[in-house]
Amino acid sequence: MRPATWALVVVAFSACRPTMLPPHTLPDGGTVTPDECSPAATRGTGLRLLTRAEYNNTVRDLLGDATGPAKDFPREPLAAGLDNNAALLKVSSEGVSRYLEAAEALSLDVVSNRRDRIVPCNTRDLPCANRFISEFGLRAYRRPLAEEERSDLRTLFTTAQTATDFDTAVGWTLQAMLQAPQFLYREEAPIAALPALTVRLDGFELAARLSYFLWATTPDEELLIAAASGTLDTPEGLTAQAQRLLADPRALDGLMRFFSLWLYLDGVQTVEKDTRVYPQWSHALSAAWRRSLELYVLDVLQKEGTLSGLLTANVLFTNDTMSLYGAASPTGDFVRTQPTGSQRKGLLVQPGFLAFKALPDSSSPVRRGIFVLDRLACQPPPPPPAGAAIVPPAPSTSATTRERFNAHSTDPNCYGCHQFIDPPGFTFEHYDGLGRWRDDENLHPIDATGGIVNAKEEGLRTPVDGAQALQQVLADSRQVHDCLAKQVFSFALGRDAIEADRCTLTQVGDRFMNSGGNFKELMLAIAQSNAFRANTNPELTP
Amino acid sequence: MTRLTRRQVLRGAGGVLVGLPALEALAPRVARADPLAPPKRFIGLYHPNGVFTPQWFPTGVTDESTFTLSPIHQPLAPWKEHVLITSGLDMTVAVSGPGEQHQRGLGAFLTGAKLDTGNFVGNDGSRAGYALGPSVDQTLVGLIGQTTRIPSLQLAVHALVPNVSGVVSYAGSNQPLLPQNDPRLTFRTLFMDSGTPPTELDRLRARRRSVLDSVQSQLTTLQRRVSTADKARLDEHLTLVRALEKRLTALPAGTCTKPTDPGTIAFENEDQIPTVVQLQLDLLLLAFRCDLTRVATMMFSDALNHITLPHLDIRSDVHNLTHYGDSDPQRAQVGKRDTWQAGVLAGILSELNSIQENDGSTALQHTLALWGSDVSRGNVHAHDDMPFVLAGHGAGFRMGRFVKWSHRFHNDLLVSIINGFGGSLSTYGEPTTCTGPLSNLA
Repeated sequence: MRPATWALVVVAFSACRPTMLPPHTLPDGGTVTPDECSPAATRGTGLRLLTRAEYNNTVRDLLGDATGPAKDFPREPLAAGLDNNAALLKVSSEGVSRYLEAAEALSLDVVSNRRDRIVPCNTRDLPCANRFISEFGLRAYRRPLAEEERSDLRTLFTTAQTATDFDTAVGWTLQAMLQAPQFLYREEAPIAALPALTVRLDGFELAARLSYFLWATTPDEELLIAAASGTLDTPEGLTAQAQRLLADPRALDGLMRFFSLWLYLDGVQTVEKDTRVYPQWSHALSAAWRRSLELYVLDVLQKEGTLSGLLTANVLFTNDTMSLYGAASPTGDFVRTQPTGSQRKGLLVQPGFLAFKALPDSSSPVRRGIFVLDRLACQPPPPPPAGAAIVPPAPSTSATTRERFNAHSTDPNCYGCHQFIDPPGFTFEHYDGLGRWRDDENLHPIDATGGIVNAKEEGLRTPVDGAQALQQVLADSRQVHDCLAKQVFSFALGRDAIEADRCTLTQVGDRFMNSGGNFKELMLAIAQSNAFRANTNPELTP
Repeated sequence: MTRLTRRQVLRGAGGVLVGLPALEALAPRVARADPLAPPKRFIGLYHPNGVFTPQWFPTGVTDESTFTLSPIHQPLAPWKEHVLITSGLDMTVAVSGPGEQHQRGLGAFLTGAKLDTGNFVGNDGSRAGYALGPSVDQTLVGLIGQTTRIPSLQLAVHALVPNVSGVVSYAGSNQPLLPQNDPRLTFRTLFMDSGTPPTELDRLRARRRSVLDSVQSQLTTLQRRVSTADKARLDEHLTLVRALEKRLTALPAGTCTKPTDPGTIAFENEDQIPTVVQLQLDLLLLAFRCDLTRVATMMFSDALNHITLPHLDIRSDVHNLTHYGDSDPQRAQVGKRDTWQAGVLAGILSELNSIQENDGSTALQHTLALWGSDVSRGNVHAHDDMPFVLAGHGAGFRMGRFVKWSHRFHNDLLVSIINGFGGSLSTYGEPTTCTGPLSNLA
């Protein structure tokens, strides 16, 4: 890699647009040109602590690590289900201990086994040490090191070499780099003197933002070169790099990370069932649910690549543990099947999703309904009124779940919210607590009619019969596309989407919808937005 | 005093940035504390979704000290003289504000604060951020826990959701400290280096000192290039690195007893719950015994509490069971869980009583445990008459009693606890739901 000269360049947007836009009225089908949207003011930070997933991917790509040491790091506090909210990600007492342990193990491994990966020379002299610090440092810190940073590391290197030897000194220096905030935080932290309202990210900051968003890992060499050469500072250059990253198979890594959180796959894996009701359940089944669901999403993203595909693909990944869902693989390996009929058509009728959104001993119209309202329609129901007596529908061996839940429509304490929660939930009633298909329950035929009765968008309120029909309505909805776009936007920037982002989100939503719900187009639109390329001046935020 | 210097002062105190009330609480008494006196300790125990109220409160109450323990509290019978059962404390701060009732109650339990407006999905889909203030355990770190190797421990069994429903300890506003569910990692936090031979340890320490010094130089260099807010953020990081360096290179690595590594446990499995509880509490009490830490919280599942308890033969979703009416046999299963929980507390008290201090007393004399929940009665999601149990004599409260207050805020209990450990606060958490320390405690 050619050496790059680098200095902190702060470029205030030349056109002084107001930081906070007045609330926009959503244009009906109209489009907003990109330049109308400014980055929104948010509280928060420009330092984004690597998540555990990002840390593991980063050391995999930097050092060739295969151990994933961040599995033992403190968990991220989720915000709206996402793990990368920059303001909430903070180091802790336990965290710094784990960083130290990981840095020690990683340095020992790489220096012993893959030294060439980090040291660009074999001379074991001072010029070689300097090259290691500058060249590996650039990759670790995702930007060229400032002179002071280099000299500090050189001091450590010299101390270490005096006490030990050259390669051990490489290890010590690497340990310091891996615990330095320059490595642990993604710097998206440009500053500017007031009264500048917005400040552009420089090329290296943008390279990291782009790479972690699309690939969930550290920038590759080509991206760093684009940053050093100034290419990323132009909209065309940024677009070219974004398209390169999106064309790569790794482009699904960022999106898969998003969907893992959106579905909360970690929760799917730890579901447990009442074995008196479901003797088929085992921990192995929960693990299979997770993997099957993950493979479904990955398959759709690789093939259709659209939101509509996600909600309508007729695919089931299954293995020997999942024989209760029909055609199974004879082994523990998962095979891709296309079941006859439509019982497994769409994400929301995959066994893992249905079993997760259920009770230990029965289905749960409530949990399924809330997921649809919250994660797909972005219309979460309000909490139960304070002091209201919550009386769960009693278990029954004669009535259907739907009949039991009718109490919700007669008790005014429940009706306020459950009039909205239950109807989308009822459309899943053909699936029991394990996500198995059923035609009847307790000898009564299943009634799976329902819908999103309070949807803001008229089309989304269409009454349906069954979860497949519900998914088709969701797949066609602009509201649902906007809802997903907002969540992916939030994931890209590591912060909540707020009212001032409405302009950007409208523009991004237009492109997502017009592309037929193509996720790569969504990610490209987000990467091209002003909100992605610039921050508001952090000195402005209260 | 400018805000920045005030923050710096606070940061210096406990290794983490604690909330403002701690400042007033800290200075005078800590300076006077006798270094040879037995250490003071605090444990917060969180128990989700309220209790089975019909079997919770004492019966045959003649006066504060003369009563019969309820069926649920029977396991505490040997420790009756060391326990204080409360009535009439209302968690009013959790009645309104962002979030649903379990989230608000869990957030407020030890903070006395409301939740931030946020974007996080609750059990019922409502949205809330994290609590807007530090929890009492973290404030107590500044009062009683400054000299130990580990400032505090946040432990849990099956509190798996990493959001507002899965955290009880807060370093400050919007600074959740998610608990550790895995005993293997609890062990590593407490006993890092404990098996390292002395000669090797010297080399290790020399290297870590150099490396961590370099990390600190890198950190201060970065600070010159970031915004005012991020400088402060990096200051907190710097404090933690300094504390780590001190912990690993200056303090003795040995412990008072040889710990056993619990190894890998399927800690996410419900049938492992009793094993994980035992291991986490064993490690916690060992940490107390060796004075590695003096402050801890332990969560018994999270506020969503979508678990079954196979070891109690509770096979339904426990959260759902708490919703049934008081006379419904389904709900009585909650009482079985609560009784188990009382037994766990009894086990802790027994262990504390076995830890001998220098002056001949036991750790039970110098520890306060607070056992509480997010709601009182799960079937109405009530926040009045919260089920709090205090145990041990660490805060100087008169124990062996059942004390009824008439609608006092639970924040008043929190401020009493701080002051019982030497603080001098007049309020804690949300000021509109705090009238000051409770009388009739000390």
